[in-house]
Amino acid sequence: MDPKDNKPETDPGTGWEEDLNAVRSALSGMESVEPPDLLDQAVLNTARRELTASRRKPMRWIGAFATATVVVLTMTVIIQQEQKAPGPGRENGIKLDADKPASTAVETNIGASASSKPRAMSPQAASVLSSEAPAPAKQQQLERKRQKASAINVPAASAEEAEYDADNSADSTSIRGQLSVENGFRASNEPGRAESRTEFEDELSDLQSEPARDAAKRAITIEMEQASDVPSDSFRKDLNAPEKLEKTAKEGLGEEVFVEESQGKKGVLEPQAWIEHLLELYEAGKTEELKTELATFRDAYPEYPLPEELQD
Amino acid sequence: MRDRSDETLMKSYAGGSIEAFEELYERHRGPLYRYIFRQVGNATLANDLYQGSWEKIIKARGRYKRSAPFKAWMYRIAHNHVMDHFRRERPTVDVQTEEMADGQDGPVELIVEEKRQQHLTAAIKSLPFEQKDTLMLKLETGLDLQAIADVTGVNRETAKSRLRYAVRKLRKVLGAYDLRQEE
Repeated sequence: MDPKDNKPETDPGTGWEEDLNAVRSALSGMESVEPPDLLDQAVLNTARRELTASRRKPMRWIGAFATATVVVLTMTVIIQQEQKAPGPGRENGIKLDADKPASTAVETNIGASASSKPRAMSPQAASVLSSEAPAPAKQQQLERKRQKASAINVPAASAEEAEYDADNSADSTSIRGQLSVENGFRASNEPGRAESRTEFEDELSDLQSEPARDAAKRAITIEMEQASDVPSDSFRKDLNAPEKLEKTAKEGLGEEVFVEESQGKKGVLEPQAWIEHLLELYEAGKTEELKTELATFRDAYPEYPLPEELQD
Repeated sequence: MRDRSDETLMKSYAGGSIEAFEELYERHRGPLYRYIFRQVGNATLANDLYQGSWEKIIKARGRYKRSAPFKAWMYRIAHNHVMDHFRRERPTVDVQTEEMADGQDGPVELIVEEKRQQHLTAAIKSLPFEQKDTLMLKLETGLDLQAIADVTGVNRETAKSRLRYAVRKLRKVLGAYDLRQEE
C-alpha cells in the first residue's frame, strides 16, 4: 500500500488547508456567478437536438435498407418467374415486341445478341435475355418469315409467334411446314386470298417425308374445305414435328374418310383395310374403279406389298 | 429523482432521456460555470467556453462508461477545452487595477470588503494557469486531490503542490487585508 494514500491531504506543518478554507470563504462571499438563462437554454437545446439527430440516423439507415431490400426482392421474384415459366414470360416479351414496329423488334434482338458489353442488370436477367435473343444467323430467316406472314395478311402477332417458334426449334424445315399450315388455315378463313393457298403449298414442298407431305396436303385440303372456325391452337399443338404432322394427318384423315365415304368420296384408309376394299372391287368385277383406286393406293403406299390378285 | 447518481443520469441521457440530462445539467451548471469563469475572468469568454464544454460532453455521451465517475469525466472535458483555448491564445496576465474601484462612497466595511474581493479576484487571475486550474477544481467542484490529478493529467503530488502554491499566494493577499482590519 502506498504510504501516500494514508497521508492526509492537509499538511499540519504548513497549515495550507486552513489557508484554503480562508480563500474558499472569501470566494463564497463574492457575488454568485451563474450561467445566463439564455446560455442554459442553448445548452439544453443542443442536448435535445443531438438526441433527436441520433434517433433519426438509424431511421434513415433502416429506410435505405428497406428500399434496397424491396428492390432486390422484386428483381429476384421477376427473374425467378421468368426462369420457372419461360412460355408465358416469352409470350409477354413477344407481345411487347409486337407492339413495336417489326423492324424495331428485330433491331432490339440484334442489339441484344451483338452487344458484348454487360448491361446494368443482374446476371440472371442478362442470361435470360441472351437466351431469348436469336442467333445472328437466323435474322435473315426470321425476316423472310415475317415477309411471308405479311404477304398472306397474317396479323403481326402470329408472325411474331411463328418467329418465336422458329427460334426455338432445331428443325427449321418442320417449322416452315408448321408455319405454312398455320398461315394457310388462317388465310383460308379470309375471302379473296387464293394466293395464300399457293404460298403454303409451296411451303409444304419443304417437308422431307413424301407420305407426310401428301397426308398433310390432304389434311389441309379437307380443313380448308370446311373453312370455318379452324381450331388452330389444338392443331398447332399437334404439329410440332414432321412425324407428329404425319401421324396427325393419318389419324385425322382416318376419321374424315368415314365421313367422306358416307358422302361417296374417296379417302385414305389403312393399307390392310384399303387392300380389302380393293379386293372387294376385284371380286365385284369393277375393273375401272379398281384401277383408279389401285393407282391412288400406290401413290399413298408405294412400297406396300400387294396380293397376287391385284398385282396385275 | 435526486437519488439517481450522476452516472445513472448520464447513461439515461445517452439512452435517449432528455429529462435525465436536464437534471444532470441543473446539478452541475453553477460549479462548471464558476470553474471556467474564475479562470478566464471574462463573462463573454466564459460563456463561450462553458457552452463549448457542454457541447463536447453531449457529443461524448456515447463514449461515457458508467464505471467512471461522471464529475471527474465532465471536468476533464471542460479542463481540456479551456486548455485548448489557452494554447491557441496565450493569455496576457495583467492585473486590471482599474477594476479595483476607488473612491466609491459607502460604509467603510463595505468598501474594504469590496476591495478585498477585487484584490482576491485579481490575485486569482494572476496565478499561473496550472495553479489556478487546480485551485478552481478544488474550490468549485469538490473533487479530491486524486480526482484533480486525474482531470489535469498529473500525479497526485504535483496537483497538491500546485494547490499549495496557489493558496499561499492568495493567503498573502487576504492576510494583508486581515492585518489592515486588525490595525
